[in-house]
Amino acid sequence: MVTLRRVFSLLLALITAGIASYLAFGYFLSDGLQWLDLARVVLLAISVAWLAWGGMLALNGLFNSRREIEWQEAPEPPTARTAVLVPVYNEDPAKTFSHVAAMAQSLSRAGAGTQFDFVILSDTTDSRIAVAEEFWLGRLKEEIGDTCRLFYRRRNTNPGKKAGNIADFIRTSGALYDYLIMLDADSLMEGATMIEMVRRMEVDPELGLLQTLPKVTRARSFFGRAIQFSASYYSPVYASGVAELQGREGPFWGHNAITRTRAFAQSCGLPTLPGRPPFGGHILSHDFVEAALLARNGWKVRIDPDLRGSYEEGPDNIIDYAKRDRRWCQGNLQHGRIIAAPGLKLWSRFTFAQGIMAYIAAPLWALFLVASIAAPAIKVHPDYFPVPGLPVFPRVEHANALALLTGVFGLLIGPKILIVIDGALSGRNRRFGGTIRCLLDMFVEIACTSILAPIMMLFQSRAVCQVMTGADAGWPAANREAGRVTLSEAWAASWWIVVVGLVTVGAAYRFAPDYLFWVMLVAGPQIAAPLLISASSLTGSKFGQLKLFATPEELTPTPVMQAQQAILTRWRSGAEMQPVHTVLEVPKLREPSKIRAKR
Amino acid sequence: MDVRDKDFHRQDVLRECSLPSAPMAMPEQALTRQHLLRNAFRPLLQWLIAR
Repeated sequence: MVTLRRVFSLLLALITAGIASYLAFGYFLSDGLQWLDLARVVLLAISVAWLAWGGMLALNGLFNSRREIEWQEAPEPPTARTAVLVPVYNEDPAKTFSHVAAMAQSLSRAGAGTQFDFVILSDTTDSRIAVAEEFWLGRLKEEIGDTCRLFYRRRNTNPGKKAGNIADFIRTSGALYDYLIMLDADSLMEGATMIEMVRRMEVDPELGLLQTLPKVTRARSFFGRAIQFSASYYSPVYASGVAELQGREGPFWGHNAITRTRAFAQSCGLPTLPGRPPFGGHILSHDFVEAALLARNGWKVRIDPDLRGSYEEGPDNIIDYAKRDRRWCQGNLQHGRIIAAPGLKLWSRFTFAQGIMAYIAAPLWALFLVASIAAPAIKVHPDYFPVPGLPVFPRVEHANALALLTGVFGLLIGPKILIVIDGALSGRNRRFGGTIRCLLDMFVEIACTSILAPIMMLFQSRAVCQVMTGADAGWPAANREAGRVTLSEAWAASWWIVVVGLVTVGAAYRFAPDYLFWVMLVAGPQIAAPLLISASSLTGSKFGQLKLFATPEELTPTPVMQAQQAILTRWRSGAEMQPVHTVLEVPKLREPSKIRAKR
Repeated sequence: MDVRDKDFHRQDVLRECSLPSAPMAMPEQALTRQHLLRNAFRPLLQWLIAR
């Protein structure tokens, strides 16, 4: 059945691309066909196929009946032993550890504290932060008392980065645990959710890894809140689509997931790829590879989008988003070396291809736009008198162009409109403030993403070019306090986008003046990139007052979210402890490595 | 409480929180070396540049 769904979805995406190519071919043919037109058709076909595939995921998600099932909390706490792994790398320890404290208390309230151990795996390289980690560890220990056991280990060097950190733990202490819940430093999960995850692993002995869909929380800026809304409102539907097509080869996103220790250890030892980075060295996006390796060994990998109570945080401004994208881009393109590895399931290979396509799509769109501006410049003037005496005027297929444009817009916004309709019919919209509110949020979100898309396209295209040529231009420093990006920081990060926008307008004016309006839709935001980047990072209570992009978690924070916020506020209030800067002075007296050597 | 006391406390906590030893084998997978593509994109890029 799943094979049928996969084939059907793929076919529909390909047919959509075929129709787009046919319409484009007809339009380009009207004024004489050139080699550049053929290139445009191919670029358009690939890009539309990718868009249509996203639409297919949404459609599959909308027809997934298990999307919103209610699960009962497990009647009895599990007997299996589970380690909750929290890898950290130069993170703010007070904040990360407040997440751990809230999760430990949540588990304890659910009566399962003794079955879950929290393990903080530090790869921190900054000695000041390392000392702060040790200080806050003491604070965390006091906070959680005996509710859960707590372990902390810091590596002096960090080979293999996060994947190496986890593997090191398994090699050292893995035999103690049946399951591992893998988190990120900003992850947060309800105790009941973790217990339910263990229960589902117990029920299905073939299940090697179970992924939850983490909701983005705590966004403050306009940009961050737009992402948060998308992740909360649209992503569950897309994730359900992924679940409909996953079979035994579902996704792993590296965190907010549980794995069977034995299966992971047996399957997921990662090789160091021969050659130098960006394609050689450690596998960066290890999660996709680990999912593929588990599936190769016969273990089931599954995402259950109905598992609530799983949270993460997202970037609050476009620069941080693009920086994260740069890392993910490199990781996904590196999968090009693994995609043909022997023994992998076909769907695992397809997942790698999807990950690569997610980044290749941007330069393909950019190339299509460049080709479209260049095409009129090399256009061969039509022969109005193929037969002497009677003129023949070429028929311009405006209807084709209009249909194509409508189709592409339909693929971009159609799934979102369907999700709102589905939310109105199912009652899901009520949790977001009602259907009118959801419609408003959707229109604002579509407007924002449309305006920002040409900027993101260039960031992603640059990332792909950098990775493929092995270059890394680096990033200008930015003030990360409160996620706010000043205009000068935005300019430093995006001046080159302004240049590209201006050159594009100039080229369009010179070679394709008829298309200048359409080109401005793309180049305009690029020219205004510094303004848009800075403005979208604004934080303020007005968004909250307007309830724009409000999510259920924001309207009614869940118990673990409330607990975490309360703990962090209390820790930072200064009433109960000394300020962090006092703690950070400690390295002057004693280096952390010396402290650990004496342990 | 002076800094030395805090250090002492910290060492106590670190000792208490140190990882227990219970090794589990995690072999490296055989998908590396001869089976991996050397670089899927570089030939394509070189071909494009050459054009």
